[in-house]
Amino acid sequence: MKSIIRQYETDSLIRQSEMLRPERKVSVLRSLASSPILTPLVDVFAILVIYLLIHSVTPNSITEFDKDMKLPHAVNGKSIDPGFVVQIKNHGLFIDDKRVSKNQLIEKLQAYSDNNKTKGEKSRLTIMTDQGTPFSDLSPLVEECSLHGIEEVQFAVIRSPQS
Amino acid sequence: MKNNPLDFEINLLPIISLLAVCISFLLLTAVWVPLGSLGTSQAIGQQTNEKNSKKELLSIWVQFDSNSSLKIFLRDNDFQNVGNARKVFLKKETVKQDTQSIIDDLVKRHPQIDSAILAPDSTTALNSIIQVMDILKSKQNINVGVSPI
Repeated sequence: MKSIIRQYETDSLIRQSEMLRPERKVSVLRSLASSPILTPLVDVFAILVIYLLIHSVTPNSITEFDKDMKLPHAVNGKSIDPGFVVQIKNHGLFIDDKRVSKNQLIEKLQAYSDNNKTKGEKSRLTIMTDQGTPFSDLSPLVEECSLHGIEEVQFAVIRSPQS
Repeated sequence: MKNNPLDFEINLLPIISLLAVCISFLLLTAVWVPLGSLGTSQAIGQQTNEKNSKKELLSIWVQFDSNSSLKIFLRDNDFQNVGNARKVFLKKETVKQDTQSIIDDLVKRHPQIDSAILAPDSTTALNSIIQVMDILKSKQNINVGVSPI
């Protein structure tokens, strides 16, 4: 059985590079340099990739909204459970990035509410809009929710830490 | 040293490069915005709260006045005002602290408060509504609602 020194000598990267330049002699100290252990690095990278993949694929999270839209900040915001999402931009109503009229919105709200009633689930509406939007744009939507049996109306906010 | 012919060394450098590229891509495309929501409970049709008929419950009303001030007062089950209304000017720097202290005081003096209604007017910005809702939501047992125009 070879000694440990001999074993490391032959496995050293620096020693292996000697093969490219056979004339150069490598000192004993340099020949003892061991190759870096890469297995933990691969493990960490694999865990990071798995976490980021799960984070990007997680359902029920609204990740697409207008970059120009400044959502209001709130300290006591709860985690969002979207339900039916309506965006209000430039005094218009948008569902799945498509502009809809008030009648189309009412039809979709009614269909959503009826669907949830048959399933026995709670209906909820999420309103995403800029923080400067006047209440005159929001009021018709809030009123329609009450008329169509949607008990919970959520306003999308950005959770900020307590000041 | 003669290597056993069944042993082979795996070159880990390409795996590390691939994982590093995947991580960089996922980090760039991930959305790190902490989205949350503030929910309100809306009354539907002729919904009545059975509890109200038995107990003397009060509700906080916050009335917004054209983005300049807000009026905070209490109402009972019969929509009669209880006590005096208090006014907070929105343009004042301490508006949030003033609103918080008024609501804290009301909740402390009237433990039977179980709901809060926000009554904005047409020009009230969503941000003002959310700030007041945020303060009310910090009180655990208060249901917050928004009254349409």
